Amino acid sequence: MPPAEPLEPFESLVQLAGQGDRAAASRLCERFAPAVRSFARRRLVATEAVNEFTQDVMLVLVEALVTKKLEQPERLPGFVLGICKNLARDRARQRERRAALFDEYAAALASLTPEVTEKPTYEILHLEDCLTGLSQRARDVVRLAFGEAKSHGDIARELSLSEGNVRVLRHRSLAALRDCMSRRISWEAA
Amino acid sequence: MSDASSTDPPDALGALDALGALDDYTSGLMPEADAEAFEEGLFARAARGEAAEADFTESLRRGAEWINRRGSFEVGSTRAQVDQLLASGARITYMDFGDCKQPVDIPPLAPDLELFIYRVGVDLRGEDYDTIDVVVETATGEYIKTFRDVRYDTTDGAFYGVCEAPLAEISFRRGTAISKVMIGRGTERRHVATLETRPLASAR
Repeated sequence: MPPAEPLEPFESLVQLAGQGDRAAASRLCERFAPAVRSFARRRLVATEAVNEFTQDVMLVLVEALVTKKLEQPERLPGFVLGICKNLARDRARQRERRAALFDEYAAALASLTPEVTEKPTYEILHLEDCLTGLSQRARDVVRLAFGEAKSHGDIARELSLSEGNVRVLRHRSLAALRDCMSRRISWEAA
Repeated sequence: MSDASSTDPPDALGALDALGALDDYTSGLMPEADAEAFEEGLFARAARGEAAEADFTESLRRGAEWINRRGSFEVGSTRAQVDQLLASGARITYMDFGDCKQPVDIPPLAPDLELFIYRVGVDLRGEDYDTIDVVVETATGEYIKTFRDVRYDTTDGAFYGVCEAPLAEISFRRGTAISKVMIGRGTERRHVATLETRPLASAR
């Protein structure tokens, strides 16, 4: 794997975004998207709802960036978390405001829209390869937890396991998959 | 049947690492009292581009959702599933690898192929086992990978493999592969069949 290039400090990106650089705003959205999705997943089940929540957060963030609402760039992480908390508190009232923001700033969010593809990407092929190295029970846990977004309790019931066992299996499977996916596809390894 | 992965690091269940903590957070197992501090840390690291565990988890979700739509979380299919795929209109190459007694030459795959499906005619009906694994090596004995908990079709005892064509293509680039079918019972493992596959030069 090639070494990753050092990332631009987020404070610089905030300043650039405030000067009208939409690409800088977009890079900030990309950087926060996994954290925002994680925040949403704790509270929402359906992937579509998680995607919509993430988009809503990013629309508010982009607006705040381009209108320089954030006076202290170093406070960006807490600012984004604050947007998440506010939106989680009042989802209904946001729907109207969302439509207006979407018209104005949708372009900055283009890179966040998950690609729906019928062809498997390299990443998917890699995951398929790694999954074959797990036990069937571990594969079942990954399918239910990540492919079907089932709750802990539902997974435990479906697999006739205790919730504690499901947690252990999830953690072990995640660690194994992360380890496997940090290498090349097994067939490619030199 | 063991639930552990063959690639589990020995300390995977030790101190809760960032990936495990994030999983507890998103799955709701982390108490609210701890979640607030966790969120602050997560967002601070995300700002610096250091929340690799969140990137990984989201990427895993996207991949798992895709694979789930295709229904391929098991290793090995049934004849009925294969027949359904063959009748689906998808671009598929189907090969019968025979009974493992002769090496199998695999012709190049068509450029627009979607799935490569194969049958391995071992008959595992009546075997006493907990697990069936297939260990794959190169012709010179270099380890490539292990397919764990492989399923066979109970009507004819054979393995049916369904592989995304691009992944099949990647595997064929490795050259001749020796696949050993291992049956496990308790701590014992028994080698019951060996298949040699020899991909011919690819046109893709």
